[in-house]
Amino acid sequence: MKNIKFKSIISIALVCYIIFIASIFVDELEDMKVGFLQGKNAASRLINDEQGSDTFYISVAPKVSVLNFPETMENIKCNEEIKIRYYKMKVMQPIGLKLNLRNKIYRVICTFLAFVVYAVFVFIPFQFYGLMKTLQKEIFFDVKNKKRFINIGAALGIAYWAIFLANYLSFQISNSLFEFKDYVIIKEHTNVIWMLLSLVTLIIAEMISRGIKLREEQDLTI
Amino acid sequence: MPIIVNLDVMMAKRKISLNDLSGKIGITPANLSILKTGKAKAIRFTTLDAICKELGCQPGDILEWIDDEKQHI
Repeated sequence: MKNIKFKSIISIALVCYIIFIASIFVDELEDMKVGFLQGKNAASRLINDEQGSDTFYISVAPKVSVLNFPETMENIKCNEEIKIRYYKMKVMQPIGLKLNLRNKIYRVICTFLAFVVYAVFVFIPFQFYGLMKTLQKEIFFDVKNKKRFINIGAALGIAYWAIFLANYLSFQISNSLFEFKDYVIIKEHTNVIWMLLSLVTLIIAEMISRGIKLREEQDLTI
Repeated sequence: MPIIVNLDVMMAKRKISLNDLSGKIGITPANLSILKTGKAKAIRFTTLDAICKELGCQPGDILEWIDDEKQHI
């Protein structure tokens, strides 16, 4: 009975985690397609000595005020022009817009940071699985569990700072290449939830540490 | 630790072994050994009561406090 309950919980947790990861990929699917096609065409461009294109992802804010809507677009439902404003842009530029050495280094660092974040997404479920296995044995205040929580907390913290740094470097690249009449380029916001989750997990690790001491005292109480 | 457990002294006086005492007071020999060797962190009153009843002694015969400084000397 306990085994069935444990397997059910593990299955539900696994499904939830897969849905969470899949939702991230679905959100970024269009961008992944763009990157894939550009990479696929890169080889033929090299052979044929053709100019390719590169995509930049830029967050922008209006220059004048938050009430400024500098663009217009036709609303075909009522055939009238409406005012709009962009907050994010995907800009396609010819590769002729050459990156200087600093920007190339930043791009390499961003690629590395992306792999770091992917590694965190793979690392965390393994730690959770180990945690669930010990919980099945009704062992919670254990040194291994404390280490697992510390690992999860550290991984979440690393993911936050990796995303933060990648956003900053992307901003530096975009700022050096582009300038718009009605918009100012801003750094993309990094979701603080990663850092909060990291702190909460580390606090739980500290609680487990205190629990381990209490359990040891309890074990040595005759 | 300033609290010294003199259980081995009382057991020698009453000529009772660890296994016999543990069987009579309902504690495992392992736990009683932890108490005897001074590794225990705490003792329940119920345990102390059972030991004193079996050995016919006072808690002060089993537990002794020594000042930390004097202990190191």
